Amino acid sequence: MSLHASSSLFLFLVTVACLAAGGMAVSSVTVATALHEFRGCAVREFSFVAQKPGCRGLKITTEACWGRCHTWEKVVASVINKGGRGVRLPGCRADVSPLYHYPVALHCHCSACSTRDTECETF
Amino acid sequence: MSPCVTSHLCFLVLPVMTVVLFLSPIGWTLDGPALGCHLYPFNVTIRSDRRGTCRGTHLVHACVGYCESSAFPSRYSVLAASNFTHNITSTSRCCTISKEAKVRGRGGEREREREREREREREREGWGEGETYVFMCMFASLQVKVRLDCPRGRHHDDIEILTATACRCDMCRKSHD
Repeated sequence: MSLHASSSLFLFLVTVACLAAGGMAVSSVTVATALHEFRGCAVREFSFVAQKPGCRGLKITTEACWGRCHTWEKVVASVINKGGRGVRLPGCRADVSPLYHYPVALHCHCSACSTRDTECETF
Repeated sequence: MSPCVTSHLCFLVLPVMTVVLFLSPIGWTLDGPALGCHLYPFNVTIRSDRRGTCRGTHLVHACVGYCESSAFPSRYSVLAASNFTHNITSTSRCCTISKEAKVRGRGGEREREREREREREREREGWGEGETYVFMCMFASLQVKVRLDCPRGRHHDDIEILTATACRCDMCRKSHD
């Protein structure tokens, strides 16, 4: 599992959802910024191998969140809005469902990690 | 002042009854601190009571900055262990205090010598010069004695507060709120 860490000199596109002042309209803005200077949390491409017992693994590329948060204790990059996708894993036993669902990050922000739906890890 | 900064100071000050704490940040820019995790200076004013009968000011440091984190689909083992409720895993590092040393407000030479001896003992135990790794924030920062000035020659005991001397992006810890 790894976030695609391209060179820090590369530019990467950050899709930022900006709420209008009245909070009624939502617009998307694409901002180009140097990766090594980036602050905040943004949607970023992410690849992992989806696997479960009884099936073969399948490499999936999706959107996750990555960033640098202004941290003190618990503020981390979090998925603020997510969708879901499903795939069929290959080589599953007859008694195992091949369906595999995973979340897709639509918007990200820096916030406290919620243990309600998130496994909060630190290293 | 951001809540983040405020919580820093709450964490740095020893719980002392009847002491009121006032902060004023120094050197904050419109863009916020630079990337990474850095010392952030504050002037801390301590009052003996709400009226400020005795008061003293000292410069202390907190750790403030930006550290990397990410959130991505959880591994199957995480899904299974959480009864399929934690479908996102967030990994993070937090800006935290990493190094301690002793600093005295207006302490005496005898006290400073005792402190130097304690540091020599720590070195003999293998901690390295003046360095203690963080287990709890209260042990990771240094103690500062703040002398309170009182009117009409009255005396008040020095108040010990904590300050940081080095920072780094490291393991996130639960706040004490």
